[in-house]
Amino acid sequence: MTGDIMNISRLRMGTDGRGVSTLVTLFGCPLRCAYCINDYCHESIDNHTNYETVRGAYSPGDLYARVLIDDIYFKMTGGGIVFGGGEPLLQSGFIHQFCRLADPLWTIRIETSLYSDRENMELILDDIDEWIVDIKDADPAVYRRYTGHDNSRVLRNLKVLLRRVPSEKIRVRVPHIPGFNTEADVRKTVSFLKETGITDIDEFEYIQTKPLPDRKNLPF
Amino acid sequence: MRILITDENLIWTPDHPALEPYAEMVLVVCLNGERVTDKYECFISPYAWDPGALHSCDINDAKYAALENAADALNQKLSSRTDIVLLADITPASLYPFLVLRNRNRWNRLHLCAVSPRGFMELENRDSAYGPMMHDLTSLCSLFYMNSRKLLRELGPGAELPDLIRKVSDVYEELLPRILFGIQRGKWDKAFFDFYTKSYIPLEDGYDMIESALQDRAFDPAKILVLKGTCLLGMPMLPDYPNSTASTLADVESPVPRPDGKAVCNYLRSLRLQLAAANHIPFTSEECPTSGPCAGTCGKCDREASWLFEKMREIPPEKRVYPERSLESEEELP
Repeated sequence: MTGDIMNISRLRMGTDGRGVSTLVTLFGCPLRCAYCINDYCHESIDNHTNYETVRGAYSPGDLYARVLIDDIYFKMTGGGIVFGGGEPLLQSGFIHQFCRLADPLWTIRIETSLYSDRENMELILDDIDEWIVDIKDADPAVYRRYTGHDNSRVLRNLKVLLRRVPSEKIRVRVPHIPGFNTEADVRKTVSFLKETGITDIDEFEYIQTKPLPDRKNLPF
Repeated sequence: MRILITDENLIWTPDHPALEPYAEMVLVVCLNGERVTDKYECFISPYAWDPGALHSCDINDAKYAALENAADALNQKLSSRTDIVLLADITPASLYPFLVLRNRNRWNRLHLCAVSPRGFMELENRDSAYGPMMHDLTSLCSLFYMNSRKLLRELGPGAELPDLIRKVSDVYEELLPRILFGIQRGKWDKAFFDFYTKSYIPLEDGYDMIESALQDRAFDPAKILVLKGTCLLGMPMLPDYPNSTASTLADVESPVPRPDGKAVCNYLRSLRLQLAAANHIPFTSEECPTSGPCAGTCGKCDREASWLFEKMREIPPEKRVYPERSLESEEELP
C-alpha cells in the first residue's frame, strides 16, 4: 500500500482543528473547483507530464516515521494528523493502514468533499476522529458550476456519515464562494444541514486563487 | 540573478538610488501597460486602461488579470537566471509578479522580500488583499518578511504612515546588499532572513546556524558580486507518478518559512519545558535569538523534541503526563 503524497506540512497551529497538526496532502481529486488552492493535485488532462507536481511515494510506515517527530506536541494540544488533498478519500486504503500504526492519543482528521465512492468513506469510519467536510453548496446547480460535478453522491455520503458517526465528530464547512454563490444560497445550505442533523457548521470565505469570472459571465 | 520590482511599488520604485548598482539585474514589471523608465529593462504587461475596470488591489484587479495573461512570457524571460528576487512592499500589487510566477516557475529559485501593510486604518483594504496573497509560500526558496506592527512598536506611539514608510525604506535599503549577497552565496534550498544576524538562515539549521553566525557577524557588503552567468535548462522531465527518491521526499517534506515562525518556535519551546517539568525530566532550552520568518522549528528544536520523546518512552505508559495546552487557532499564539 503506497500513499501518493504531495506535501507533508508540519506545525499547523490550530488551522485544521484544535492543536498542533501535521497536514498530509494527498494527490488526486475528481473535482475541478474554480478556486482550487492545490490545483496541481489533478492528473494532467492532456496526458502530458504535470511538471508542477512533486509526488512522493510513502508506505504507511514511512509516513508514520516522518510525522512521529511532533508526537509530544500532538498529545499536549489535542492535535495530530490531518489528511487533506486533493480528495483524501481516494486513498482511504492508505489512510486506514496508517491509522493502524498511529498513536491512539493522536487526533486523526480528514478534510474531504465527500465526493467519492461510499466504500472509500466506509473503510475509515472507525479511524477518523473528526470529519471536516467542505460541502461547498447544497444547491446542485451552484455545485455543478463551481466544481463541474453533480453533488448527489456528496449528499448521500453525508447522510450515511451522520448515521454511522456521532454528529460531534462531523464539522461541515460552508464557504462563501465569490461569484458562485450568494448570501441566500449560503443560508439555504446552512438550513439544509441543520435539518439533516449537522450541529457543527462553520461558515467561511474561500481564498480566491484566481480572478473572479468575467462579470458578464457571472452565474447570477 | 534578477531583481523584480513593479511600477506600483511604493518603496522600491525605479527611481530608488539603492537599485542603481544592480542596474543590469533589475527588471521592472510595468503593471500599468506602459514603460516607466529607461534606466532598467522593462517587462510591459498588456494592461490597457479601462475606466470601467475593477481596481481592488487584490487578484480581481484588472492589472492582475493582464499580468496573468502575460505570465508565461514573463516566466520565459526569467528562465535564464538562477535566482529571482521579488522586491515587494506594502502595496499588494507589488506581489503580483510573485503570484503569477509561483506555480509556473520550476527552473529558478524564487526569493520574496515583503512587508505586511498592517497597523493602519488607511491600509485596511491593502491588508485584506495582502493576506490571501501570502497564503502559499511553498514555491519560495527564501523569505524576507518585515512585520510592520513590530516596526510601529519601535517607532513608538504617535507614529504615522509616512513614518512607517520611511522606516521600512531605511531598513530595506540598509539590508538590500545583505539580502542580495546572502541569496547569491546561499547554497540552501529553503531559508529565511533573520533580522538578528542580518543574514539568511537555512530553515532546518535555525538556531545552530545563528549561533555560528553570531561568531562572524561582520562581512563586507562590497564583496557582493554581480553574477551574469546564465543557465540553459530546458523543460524538466519529472515523473508523473509518485516516487521515493531522496530529492522527491525532500521536496514533499520541505519546511516553509513563515511570517509567524518566531511565535511558533516560542510556543513549542514552552510545550517542551512544560512536558519535561510535568514528568520530572531534567531539561533546559535556550531561546533562539532569531528574529524573522523561520519555519517555527529547526534542527535544534527537533533534536530537543526527539530527545523528550525518547525520555517519555522510558516512563511506563500509565505514569506519563501530557499537560493539556489549548490551541484553538493561530490567534492564540503569543
